[in-house]
Amino acid sequence: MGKGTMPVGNRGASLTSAAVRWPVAAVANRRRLQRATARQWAAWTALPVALGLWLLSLRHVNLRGMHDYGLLQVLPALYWVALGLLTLGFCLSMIDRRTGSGWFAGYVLGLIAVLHATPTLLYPTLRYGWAWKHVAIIDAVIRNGGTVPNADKLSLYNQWPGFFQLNALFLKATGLQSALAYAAWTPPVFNALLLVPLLLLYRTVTHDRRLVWGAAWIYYSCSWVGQDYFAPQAFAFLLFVTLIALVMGQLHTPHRPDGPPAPWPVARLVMVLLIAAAIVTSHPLTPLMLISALVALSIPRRNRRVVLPVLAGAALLTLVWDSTVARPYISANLNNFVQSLVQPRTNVVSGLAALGTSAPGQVVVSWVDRALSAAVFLLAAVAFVRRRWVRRTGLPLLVLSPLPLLVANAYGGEMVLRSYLFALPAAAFLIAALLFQWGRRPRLHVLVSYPLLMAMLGGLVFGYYGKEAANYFTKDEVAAAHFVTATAPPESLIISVTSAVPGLFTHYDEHPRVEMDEQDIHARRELVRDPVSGLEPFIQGATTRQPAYIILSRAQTAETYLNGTLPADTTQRMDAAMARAPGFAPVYRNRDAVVYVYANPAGGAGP
Amino acid sequence: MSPLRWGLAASGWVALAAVALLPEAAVLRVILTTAFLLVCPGLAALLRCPPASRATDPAIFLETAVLALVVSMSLSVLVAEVLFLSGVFTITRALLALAVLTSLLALLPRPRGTRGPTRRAAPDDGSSPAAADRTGPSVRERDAGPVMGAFTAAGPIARRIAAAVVAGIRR
Repeated sequence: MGKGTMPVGNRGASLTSAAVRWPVAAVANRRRLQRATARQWAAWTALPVALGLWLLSLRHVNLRGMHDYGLLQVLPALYWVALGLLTLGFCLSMIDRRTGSGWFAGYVLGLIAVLHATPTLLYPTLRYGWAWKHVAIIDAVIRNGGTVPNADKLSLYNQWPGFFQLNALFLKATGLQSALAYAAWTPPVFNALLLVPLLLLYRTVTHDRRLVWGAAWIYYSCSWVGQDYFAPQAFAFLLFVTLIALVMGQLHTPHRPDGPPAPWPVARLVMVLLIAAAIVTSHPLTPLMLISALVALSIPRRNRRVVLPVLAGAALLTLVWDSTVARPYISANLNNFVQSLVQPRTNVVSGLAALGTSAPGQVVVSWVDRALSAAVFLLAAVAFVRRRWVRRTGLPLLVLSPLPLLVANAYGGEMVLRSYLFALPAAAFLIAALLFQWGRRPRLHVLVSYPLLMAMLGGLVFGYYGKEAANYFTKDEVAAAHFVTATAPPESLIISVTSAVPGLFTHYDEHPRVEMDEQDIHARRELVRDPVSGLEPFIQGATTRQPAYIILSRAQTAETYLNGTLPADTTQRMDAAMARAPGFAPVYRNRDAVVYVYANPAGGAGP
Repeated sequence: MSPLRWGLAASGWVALAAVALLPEAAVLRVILTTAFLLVCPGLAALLRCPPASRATDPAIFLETAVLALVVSMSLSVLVAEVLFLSGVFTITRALLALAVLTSLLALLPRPRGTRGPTRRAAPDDGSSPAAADRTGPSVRERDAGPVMGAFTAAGPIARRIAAAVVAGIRR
């Protein structure tokens, strides 16, 4: 036992004996003890003070000031002081081996609250356009009694319906009208829930509290990709981490830590496969990540007795599902999958932003994201070299396991981000082993660790908060979208510039939809040259009975500015052009949105 | 038969009764159905295969909690999918299926060898993979576990609840 780990009682005894023999040394020791007590007090007070400052900092935040850097530029200095103080308190807690797990739990949950509850507390409506879309899908599942007809591009969700049907079941059971009642709290709740399987995963490798809690802190400090909102990915990721923790636990069973892994009890294997089945039916990518992780874990021969039954089960379930329920999507995209296999470079770089036309601030955000991601893998690699014992844990294999999928498919340009997400739990532990495996001089280690942890959080907030101008919606935007979905007759076309419109997917099975930023380059060029002429190919079928609705809103303007797919003034120019053009009539306008209706003068009444 | 098993066996039927008798979005209905859907089927499944951790390992409560949640959600997903995909979904049928499943898992006699390890764990001898080159924490500290402090810090009531649930599963 090292000097710094001595329990209080022993330390007191040694002080007494030292006082008899060397009074001067005794005084020095007593002072050291007093300093330690002061440090403990600092660690104990930092948490409540930081949380208090954080809550105070949220009182007056001008969300309309968000621009290039999203929340980063509108959160007050007090918020950053709270975050720095929280990190400092956590580091001080790490110095003292006597710090209870309750304090570590408090700090990590505090970090989750500060990072992930802030948007929920600040925003008047649900964050993320995709979350609104998922709420609409659940509504459609309930209305249609399951599979949603005429879903067009959203038919993908019919084929991996687990998350949506679970929510439909929950809504029908509780009698709540909409998932909007709880969806806004998904990020903090999901991250708090994820903490438990993360701890279980890390505990399969070590019982050292510093490493376990340090790894959890690092995970949340580096998880910038924002896949924690109300979505099938977050749900499947929670199941994925739990399943991997169960498999790792069976590999390193506590009854025989150094012996060969014990075979699965049948009931436990069934339970694991049950979780795998829920993953397979809920999300297209996560089962492949699971299979890849299990293949990686089965590489060491001694693991195969445990891993192969789960791997075989997961692979069989995926095969059965993809060849039955998900067959329409798989068969329609099989050629793309095969082509992707021979274009690994394209797959890897497709997730990186096209920086040429992005907002200046987004270029910075994108580079910070890349730097943080690269730093995570670099530190994990250094840990692999410097901490030999981690090589025997299986975690390095889990870090590398998303790599085959990264080169095999672009996943709509998202594969880089998703690979990072799935590698991060294991990578975080390797980094913790590098940073928090302290011998002597823990205070010196804190001097190194604190700036590093702050740098990680600095990187995280760029990626996680940097695009909030387009992820945040005002009540006026919600009202405008509600006007459209409530008044548009069935089968009438709805056009938006981007998908950043809250609630516009409501009744998506009754309306064809066009998003101008997803059209090919020729259509976008025409829209930029002449907005009315650019809209014509899409709206020429509109009639007085089934007019086309065009909605322009604040978040769409912000999104075009941030990602540069279309010029930043596109929505303003469209507004001005439609106000002058024949056939277009503004039917709704508020501070943040305007809705035009177009009925083709030559189109008659239509069917 | 422990009270936990009787409680689990009844939970689905209570949720079903709440749906049948209480108005939509009534607080009691939300509480009863949420508690059942998020906890009970998974906890009943855990009766058939208790957590792998040592009986004295304080992290067992967290393992039980997360497995109860995850397995409950997985079972609910699969039941909902079967009913939705076959076009016969109603909330009564879904809750009925889950209630029957939960009752069976809770009440059927447990197969041999699923009572879980109950011997007192030996002190960690430092032979875990991490022990090779760490200047690690004390035995006492490691046995305290990294996670139960949150519950022990919450006081004796939380400890008793945790112990009762875990004991109920192991019984």
